Parts: sequence; C-alpha cells; structure tokens
Amino acid sequence: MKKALKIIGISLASIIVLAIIAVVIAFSVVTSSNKLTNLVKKYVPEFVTCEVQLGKADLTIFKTFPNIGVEIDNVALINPMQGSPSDTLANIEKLIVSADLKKFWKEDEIVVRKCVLENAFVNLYTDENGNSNLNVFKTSEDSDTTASSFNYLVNLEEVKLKDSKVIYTDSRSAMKANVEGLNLDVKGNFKDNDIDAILALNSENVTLDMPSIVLNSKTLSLDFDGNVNGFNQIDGTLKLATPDICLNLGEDYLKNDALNLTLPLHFCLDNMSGTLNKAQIALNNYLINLDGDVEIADNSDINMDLDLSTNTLIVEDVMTYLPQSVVESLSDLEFAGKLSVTEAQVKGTFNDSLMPLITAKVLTDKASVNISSLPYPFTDVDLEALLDLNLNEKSNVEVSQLTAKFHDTKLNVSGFVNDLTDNLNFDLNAKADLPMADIKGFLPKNVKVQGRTDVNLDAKFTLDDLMKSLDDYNLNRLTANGTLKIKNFAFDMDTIHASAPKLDVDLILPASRKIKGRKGAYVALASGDLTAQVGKDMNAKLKGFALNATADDFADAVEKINLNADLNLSQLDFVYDTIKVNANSPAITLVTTPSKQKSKGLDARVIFNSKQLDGNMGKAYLLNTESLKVTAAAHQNKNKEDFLNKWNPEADFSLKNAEVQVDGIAETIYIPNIDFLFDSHELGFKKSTIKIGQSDMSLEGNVVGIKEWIADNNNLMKGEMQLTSNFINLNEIMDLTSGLGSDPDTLAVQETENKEDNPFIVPKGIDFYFGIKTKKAIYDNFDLNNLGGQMTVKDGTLVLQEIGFTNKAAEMQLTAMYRSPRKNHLFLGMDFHLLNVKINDLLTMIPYIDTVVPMLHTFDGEAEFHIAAETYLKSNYQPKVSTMRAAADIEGQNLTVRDITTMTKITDMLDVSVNGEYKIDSLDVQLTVFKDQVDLYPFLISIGKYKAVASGRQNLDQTCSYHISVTDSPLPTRLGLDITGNLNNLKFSLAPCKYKNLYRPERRSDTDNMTLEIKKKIADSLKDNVL
Amino acid sequence: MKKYLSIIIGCLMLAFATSCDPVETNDVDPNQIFGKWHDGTVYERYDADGTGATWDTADDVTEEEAQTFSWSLNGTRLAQEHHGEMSFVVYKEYNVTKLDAYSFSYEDDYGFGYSFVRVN
Repeated sequence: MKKALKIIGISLASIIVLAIIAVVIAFSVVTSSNKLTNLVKKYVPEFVTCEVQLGKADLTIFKTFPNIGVEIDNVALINPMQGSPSDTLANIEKLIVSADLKKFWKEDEIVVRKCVLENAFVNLYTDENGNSNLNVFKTSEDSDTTASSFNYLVNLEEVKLKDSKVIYTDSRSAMKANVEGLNLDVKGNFKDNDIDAILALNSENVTLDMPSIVLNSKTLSLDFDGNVNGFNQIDGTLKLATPDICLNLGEDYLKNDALNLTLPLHFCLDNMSGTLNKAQIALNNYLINLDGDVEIADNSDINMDLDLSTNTLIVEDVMTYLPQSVVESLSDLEFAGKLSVTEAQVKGTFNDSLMPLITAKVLTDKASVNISSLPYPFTDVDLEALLDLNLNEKSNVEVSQLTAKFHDTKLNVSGFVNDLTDNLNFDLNAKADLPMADIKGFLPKNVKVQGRTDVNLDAKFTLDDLMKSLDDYNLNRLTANGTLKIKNFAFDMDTIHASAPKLDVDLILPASRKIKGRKGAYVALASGDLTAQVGKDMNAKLKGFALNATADDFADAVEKINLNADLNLSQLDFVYDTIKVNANSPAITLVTTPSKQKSKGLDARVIFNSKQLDGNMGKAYLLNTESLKVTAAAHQNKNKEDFLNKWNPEADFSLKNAEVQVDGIAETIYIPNIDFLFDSHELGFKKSTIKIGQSDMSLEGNVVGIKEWIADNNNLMKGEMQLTSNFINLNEIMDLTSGLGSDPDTLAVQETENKEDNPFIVPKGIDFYFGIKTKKAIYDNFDLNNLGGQMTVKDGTLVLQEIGFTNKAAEMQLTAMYRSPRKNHLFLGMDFHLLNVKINDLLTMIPYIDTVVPMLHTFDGEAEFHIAAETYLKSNYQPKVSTMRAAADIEGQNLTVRDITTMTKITDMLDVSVNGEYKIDSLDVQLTVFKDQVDLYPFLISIGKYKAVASGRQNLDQTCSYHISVTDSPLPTRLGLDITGNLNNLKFSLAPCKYKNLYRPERRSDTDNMTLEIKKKIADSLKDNVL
Repeated sequence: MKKYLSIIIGCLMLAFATSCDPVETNDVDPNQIFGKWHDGTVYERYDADGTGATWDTADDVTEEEAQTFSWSLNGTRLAQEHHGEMSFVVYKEYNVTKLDAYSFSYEDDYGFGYSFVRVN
C-alpha cells in the first residue's frame, strides 16, 4: 500500500515536473508550437521510461489566466505488458498545466496553479509477479532527478481529473476494478514525502470484482480531507457516499442500498493499521457508530477491534441484511418490531473464511416472533439480551429478560439461546401465566384442555428437537424440569373427560432423570379433588389424587404408549352404568407397552389394591369387602372386535371378608376369602370359602372356555370344581343359580302357566363338574348326611351322578337328571336306591311314593327300594301325568302289616288263618308306572304257611283293580279275591285263583314265564345301578 | 257210533283249538297302523321302523317333545316298550279291537284303551 502510494506520488510528481519543464522551456525559448512540442518530446524520456506519444503542445494564456500554462493534447503512455487488458498505460486527451515560475525559480516551490487532465483513460495492471505497468517513471535509482534533488515544495492549487476512466487489474489476486465517469479534485501540497491534501472524488460507476467480493456502486462520491506523512501516516476524514451499492461476499450483503461512511481515521501504512474515531456508517436509514482499531495484515486479513452502536432498527429490515445462510437457518421464524443494538463490539479477523466476533446488547420493543410450527406467534416481545455473534463457530444469546405474550399466555423468560445460526439451542427458565387452552395446538387434535396455570419451567432443548418432538411427541430429546399449578383444570379426549378445581403438575424430561431406565416424560399429578368421565355411563370421583407416571411414545395412538403409572387415592367413588364402587385408599398401578407384534396393539397390566370397598350393581348385587386386590392384564388384538378377543384380559382377584347380597336371595353371601384367577380362557378358583345362608362351601377348581361361551352361547363353558362343605342347603343354592344363561324365550311366561311360578332353570352353554363332599345337606325335606358324589351341569341339564348319602331312614344312592328346556316343560328323572329303608320313613321322606305305590303304606319294616322314574313337570313342579314313566322294585323280609282292617278283610275272605299275627315273611314286588296307571306285576307274599300271589292296577285317581290268588294253603281250596273300586271304598269279591301255577315251575304256562321274565328284567335293570 | 263220536270230538277239539288262537278279524288291518292318531288330546304316532311317539297336548306337550317307544303288532296284540332315560323299561300290551284307515282302537287287560282317529 505504502509502495503504491509512493508510486502514485512519484508518478504524479513526475507528470507535474514534466509539465513544469515544458512551461519553463516555453517561457525561455519557445516561440512556436512545433518547437515546444519537439522540446517536450526531447525531454520526456528523461522522466519516463516507456514510449510516450504526444499530440500538440502549446502555450495557453486564457485557460490559465492570469498564469501562463501549457496545453498538451493527446498524451499517451504506451507500456505493453503480457496479460494487460491494453498496451496503453494512460491516454490523456487534454492536459493543461500552469505553474508559478517565479516561486519555482526563487523559492524552490512548485506552485501548480492548475493541472487538469481531461478525458483520461488509465489502465493499471500488475502481473502475477507483482510487476506493474505503472513503473515507467524514473526514480532516483534510474534518473538524475532523484528524490534528494527534488526538494521542492509542491503546492497544488487545482488538480483535476475530468470525465476519466480508470481500470485496475491485479493478476495476483484476480482483482478487477473499473471506475467510470471519474472526476477528481485535489488540492494540497507535497514535500519531503509529506502530503497535505483535500481530495474530492466522484464516479458514475465503480465496480470491483474479486473471487470472493463483488462490489458495485453507482454515483459514488469520496472525499478526503487530511494529510499523508512520509507516505506512511494518514490522518484525516474520509467520507464516502453512494445511493446505490451492492456487495456480495459469497452471498448478498448489500443490494441497491444507500451507504454513507464518515470515517475520521488515523492510518499507518507501515503496519497497515489505523484507528476509527466516531466513525459512522449509515446504511439506508440505519446508523452504525464505530470507534476502534483496524489492521490490515500482510495476508490481507482485516483485524478489527471496534465499538459499535446503532440507532433503532426495524427488525424486518435488519433480517434482510443478514447473510443468506443465516436467513435460511431462520426460515421457520418471522420477526417484526423494533430493535436496537448498544454496547456492541466487533472484534477479530475478517477475510474470505473468517468473520469477526460480534458482541452486542440487543433490546427489542414490542417485537413479535412467529415460529411456523407453533399455533400462535409470540407478541409484545420485550427482550434484553446479550448477543454473542460468532459466525465462524456458534453464535449465542444470553437472555437477561424476555417478556412476551403467546396468545393469552404471559411469558417471562431468561436464560441462554445458543448456536443461533445453526440449530437453535435453548437453556431457559420460563415462567408463565398460561390459559390451558393455549396449549391446544401442541396436543393431538382429539385432546382439549381448559384451566389456567402458573408455569415454572427450566428447559434445555434445541429448536430442531423441539419441532420434532412437537411433531412426533418423542420427548426424549428435550431436557426440562417444570411445575404447573393449574386452576379449574379440564381435560377432554374423545369420550374421556377429567376436571379438577386445582391440579399440581411436576414435569421432568426425559424421565430417566427421575427414574433410571424410564423414557419419555415423568409427570406427577396431585389434586385434592378430581372427577373423571368416560362416555355417558362411567363416572369417577377421586379424592387425594396422586399420580406418578412416566409416558413415552404417545404420538399416534393409545396402544403405542409406554406408560408406567402409580395412582394413590384417599377415596374413589366410581359409577359405571348401574355399577357403583366406593373404595377407601385404593392404589392402582398401570403399565402399558405396545405389543411387539404390530397387529396386536397394547399390552397393559393393572394392579388395584383397596382397603374397605363397597359396590353394587343396581339393586341386584351389593358387595362390601374388607379388602380387594386385583392384578389384571390385557393384551390388545386390534384385529378382533369383541371385548374378550380384543383385550384378552387376565385378572387375579383376591377378596377378603366380603358380603354379597343378591336380589331375590334373602340370604347374604359371606365370603371369608375368595381368590380366583381369570383370563379369557380360564377362571381358576384357588381355595375359596363362601357362606350362603345356612350353607358353607369351599370351592376349588377351574372354569374354561369362557371366551368361547361369551362369543357364542352354543359353545360350552366348562368347569371342574371341588366343593367341600360342612352343611349345604341345596334349596338356597338352586335359587341362587336359577335361570343363569337361559334364552329369554325359554323363560317367557306362557298363558298356560302360572305367571308366579319360578322354577329352577338349568344354565345353558356350560359344562360344569362338581365333586361334592358334604358332611350334611338338606334338599326339600331330605336330611342328607355324608353326601358325596358328582354333580354336572351341562348345557341345560343338571345331573346328580351317583350321589351317595345316608339319613335316619336309609342308606341312599341317587342319580338324578333335571332339564329345563322351557319353563313349563321341565324334565325330572331319577334312579333312586334305598337300602335298608324303613318303609314308614320312606313314605314320610317321599310322600309321592305313596301315591305311586299305595299298597306300601299297608306294610312296615325294612326293605330295599329301587326306583327309576321320569316325568315332565309343569312350572309349579307338578308332574305332567301323561308323561310319567317309572319302574320300581321293592323287596322286604319280615314286614309287619299296618292296615290291619284291610288285611283282616282279605284273609277272612280267602280263608287264611294268621292267628292275629299279621306279618309278611317276604315280599318281592316289581311295578311300572305309565301315565296315571301303576301296574303291579304278580308278586308272591308269604304269610306263615300261606303263600299268595297278588297283582293289579292302581290309578292315580285312587281307583284300583287288584287280584290275590292263594297258591299255598293247608286247606284244600285255592281261592282268589278281586279287590276293586276306590281305595276309600273297596269292593271285595271272590274269584277263581288266577296264579296258582305262577310259582310252580313245573306247571307254568308261557304267559307265566313271560311275566316272570319281565319281572326279572325290571328288577335286574334297577339293581344294576347300585354301587 | 264210536267212529262218529270220535269225529265229533275231533271237530270240537279243532274248533276249540282254532278259537283259542288270536284271530285276525276284518276290523284289524295291521298295515293301517302307520301314521299319526289322536283321541281327544292324546296323540300317538306309529312309524314304519317300529318306533313311535306319544304326547298329550292337555299337558302342554308338543309332538317335538313327545316321548318315544318301540312297538310291535302281532295279530291283534299290540306291544309297546317305553324306554326311560334313566335306564328302565315300561312294558305295555294291548288288544287291538279296530284298525282301519280312519280309526284305531285298543284296550288292555283292565279295559283301559283309546279310540283313535287318524290325523290327516
């Protein structure tokens, strides 16, 4: 720079000296133009090493009046260099010079009164080796006109360059500069390398083109008022102004902007450093005040240490001056409002790859920031921040205070925003007065919230992560601690509604900062009073609500959520349809995870633990328990529709000291303990005890096929249970289970039925096996001891299989079947064996037997009684007589006769002498029942020496037709007796002996044999079932 | 004379012998038994495979709910075996007194019976 300045100075001086010589010569010897021209040509080589072409040189008086000057036309310096755009160094169309010769001769002072170069063309070129085409003026080294011999004071009163063009090409830096329409006005003096000058320059068009810099300015004016000492120290004020300047440093920095520079500077060319004092840069309407130091290093780096301040800026305008890369990084943001920068500093190096560090205090006034992905803009933004702009690395902002509005939310923020130009990184404390409705935009569309909350949030996150998290709800990218104190909280999602007058929320992101290994968000909710609704039917009131939960992956759907929640309540009041539950101090743990199989959906596990719990299902069921624990799980299958297949629930219920009341059952069911495991395939009872009325039962076993049964009642739900008891009242149990699972049509009351009848309807669709072991039971009028056996209930059929028991009357074995295809058509079948039964007790226990076999009440004593019978019953359990079928076998020894009157009548008429001892030695009776007819097959009665065979028919209307044949008698006669009529009014008449050969094998007829064969078949088939 | 007496005694014996066997009368056509019959509210159905069913609508029982039996008709002796679900059998025998395309009557040894008419 310094060398260039020297070269320019020497060149300028040489031209001036050359002109002065011409003037001197002119005054001394020249009288004609030709002579003057020749003389100039003769002496020019003394000063210039290149070819010089001169037009006409002439004296001028008028143009330089009152001084005499020289006017030279068409001065050209020709200095061709390889690479130069032109072989012409300079071409001056007209050069006018006038000087004060008196001063030159007498005072060694060159006073240039006038030096005007008109329409000049200057081509400056420097090749890659640093050689310049301007090195054509002889210096002290190559001319006699040395610097030392040039001790004149040069006083330039008027030096002008008019309508000229200068081009400068530097091959070393690939720089091209072009100045057109150049007018230069210089005044000043020059002596001993010191220049004191006032320079005014204006140009119609200036262009500068370098590899990384393109500058273009129109109507540029440049003024300098100052001095240059020793070609080294520049002091003065430089002013530059242009209404239209464009600057591109790889990207547009200025574009058709108005630029005014006022640079009071002190610059040292030796070390290319200087100082700006109260410099001012005006860019359009904005002012930048500068104070500080600038240094240009040998490698062209510009080192700056400047203080800087601005007037009030309009933010939208400022954004347009930012580098494109910065603008693009902020493409999601829109700024508006007023901005001022104070206490700024620009410190560091500026070159092709480096930008200086800028620090500044930034103040905004009612600005606004609109982030495209947020539902509302930030308005009324008052910011006080310290900007640390480092475009080389990361730029940061320390936010001392930021107040703003976000819709109806009032924000107060402090902290740091780092990496401004790349990925905005926030480390902030935010306090807010937040109407919950303002976060609607951050929530899924099906979620609505209401209320107002005080927020205190410490958060660390990048803008990119925040945007992503708001988009995909993955909160693991963010770091935050927050507390929310919400008033009048309300939450709605689909059919779920929750509300609380006061709700405190603690939020920690990510959850691993609170609980190791957890992901997503940690949330702690606390409310004294919270209500929740699901649909119209489910309501819950939760008191002393405290929820600690972590949740992750809740972007798309509920089944994607990873949720761990612990809920503790002091009181829960729950209503679902007709179900009401009141629980004291319940605790719920809920864990949900998405299934590993995509089609499956959600896996959930719930643990419910409650102390005192009351519940009811309408008036039908009431439950009160001391404690209830439920461990449940659900495995969602999205491809299924029905509840069980969709959720595949599992649950382990544990109930202690509970009471259950069932509508229609007067007795309360007491449950000392019940523990069962339920899943969609199986209901497993662990050892559980129940007390129902007088009955106590201990139940253990499994029920399977529940899901299949619920899905389709045609499928069977199967159960295998072991029931042990000290006492069972079967009447109560039947009342308890009556009608379960039956088709309503089956239960529909028909006109022929008594509407008040409520017969036992056997459950359908189930296949239950009960192993029964009961010390004592009662059924109807039976007292049953040591009752054991099997009971099965299979698809509408109840079977008591080989139930064995004893009572005071007999040892008994019963197999019974009961079906209820419809209310007024009930099937009852039984295979009943009584061993060692006392006939009188039998008739007392089962009075109906007396109806079927009225002759039994005639006898007393021990007998065996086997009967298989079946009939359909009406809804009031009365038999449908037309459907009655039965077969019975009665065998007895040593029976006594109770109905002595009738027996006496018979023995008298048959001439049988019993001597007052009415004893039957043996009895072997087979009978069948068909509809209302009881047919007694012929049977043998032994009374002492007598034997008789009896048979007959007994009708249920109490009419009968019997026949008795005396087959063995000490008397020679064999009489027969017919007994007919109503039982209350029998008619006796002698008749021929009908069965005299029946028990005489050698005399039996075929009919007798057939009769005995049928009797045997009946007896054998009945006894076959006795165990 | 002794020869004639022998012939008379033989004829009488033959006559008695004949009268003691069941005799098909013109009133009983065994082929007509198949089908459905009723006497008031009592219904019986005789099928070709030797099975049958009985029900009484007065007891609110329908044909679908009828109780089944097996039967055989030997001359005028109608035998029915009613098999109960509890593994027992009730045997019934009747004497058919009339059986044609339209009517069907039988009675047992106690004089109890039905007079059915065919159900179309």
